[in-house]
Amino acid sequence: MRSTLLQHLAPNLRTLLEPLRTWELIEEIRLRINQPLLIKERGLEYGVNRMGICRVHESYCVTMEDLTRSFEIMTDNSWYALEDEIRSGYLTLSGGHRVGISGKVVLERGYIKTLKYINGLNIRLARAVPGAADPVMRQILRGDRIVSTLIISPPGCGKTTLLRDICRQLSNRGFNVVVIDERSEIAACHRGIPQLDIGESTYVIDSCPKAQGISMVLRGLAPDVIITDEIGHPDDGTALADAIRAGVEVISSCHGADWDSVQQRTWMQYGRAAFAQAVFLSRRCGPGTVEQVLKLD
Amino acid sequence: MLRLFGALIVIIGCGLGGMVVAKSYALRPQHLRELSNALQLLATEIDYARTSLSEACSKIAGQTKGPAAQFFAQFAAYLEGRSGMSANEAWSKSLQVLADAGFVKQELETIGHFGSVLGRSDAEDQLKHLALLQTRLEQFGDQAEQEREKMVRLWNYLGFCIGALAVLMLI
Repeated sequence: MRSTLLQHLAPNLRTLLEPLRTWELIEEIRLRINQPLLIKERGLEYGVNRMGICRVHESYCVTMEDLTRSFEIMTDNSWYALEDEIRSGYLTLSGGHRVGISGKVVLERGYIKTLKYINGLNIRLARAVPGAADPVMRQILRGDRIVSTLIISPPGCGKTTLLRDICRQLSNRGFNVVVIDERSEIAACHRGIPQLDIGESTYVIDSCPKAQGISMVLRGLAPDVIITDEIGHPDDGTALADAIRAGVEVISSCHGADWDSVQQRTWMQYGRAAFAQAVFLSRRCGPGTVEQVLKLD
Repeated sequence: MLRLFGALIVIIGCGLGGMVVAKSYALRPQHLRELSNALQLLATEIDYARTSLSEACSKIAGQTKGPAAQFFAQFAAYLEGRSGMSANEAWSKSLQVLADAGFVKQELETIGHFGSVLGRSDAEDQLKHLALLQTRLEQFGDQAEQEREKMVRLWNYLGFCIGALAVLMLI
């Protein structure tokens, strides 16, 4: 993982980050122009300087050259080839790592045309966790029947990691799994190739709006189960309900602290019927802690 | 006899030198046209396929001839090297290929300037810059064509004349 990420960074940053001994714990790397180079481990921020990990105020200060060079390498010197991703504010790198972008937004007729003056990059390290879904697989797979499930938690509790491992396990058990990966987070496709293990019989529809993707795969790919991340738009709820009516199970996730807050979302008006159970996650014992499995009527 | 033989060698040597200079004037418009065509291919790759710069340039190197092909092959090799080299640095370093092929300073400066924007903006902007560079190359091509007409004939004769003059002075 270290080498797959370091190749995307400016040589100066590579030199600083390469010797770190805690790579398996790093969750994020944060670069902002004229601000300390930060890494996030177990939810806490640390600085990095030539001596290794240090306090934030002792950290190496990221220069404009570091950031610009890193961004050029990440985009393969081809900004134009990644216009849509940049407009959406993120990139997916080979290795599945995900980069959030901040900068000045250029609007055209009220819509985001592009970003310029890039001033910050937030790199989230992709890490497949085989076995992350073990605690919930008995609830999701009853005999040879998949139970439609909604995974709920606040951000950073491991929803996507759990979805990815559910996908891998169902796929390897012979189910025809289709992933609608609107933000390229589940399979982390780079130029169409999944960078993380999502199983041997999984189709991925990458960077596709969920509602359109669901109606597309129902017609063409004959899935046993559709897996998708972060439902939010009312159209997503309608499309998921359509999938259930077509006899296809769905497994998805959404942000939320508890069932009451999720029920108030607009997409729930149509999407509620799609799910037979909800799984609640927290970080209490680390990311992916299963707090509760709620049966829905 | 020996003098005659020596005189012939001097005249032929100077004449061939003149023909080499004439050839460089004859090839310049062709080299500029080839580079302009290669840039048109790059514009197509950016506009229709959104191909990444290294992949597009590698492909263009195989579809083009002459110094333009060598230039794009060198540029693609630098980008694919994963050494952290920016497009601008790779472009600037690759210009040496064109310099060796006889591109003049003003042409090299114009082509080099394009490196600072290459790959660093959306497709619409890249296409505008490419069109601008192609227009400049066409202007250089027109100038080179006019020079070719004058200078090729001149140097084809001038080499032999210089040789003959040298022989007269030596005798």
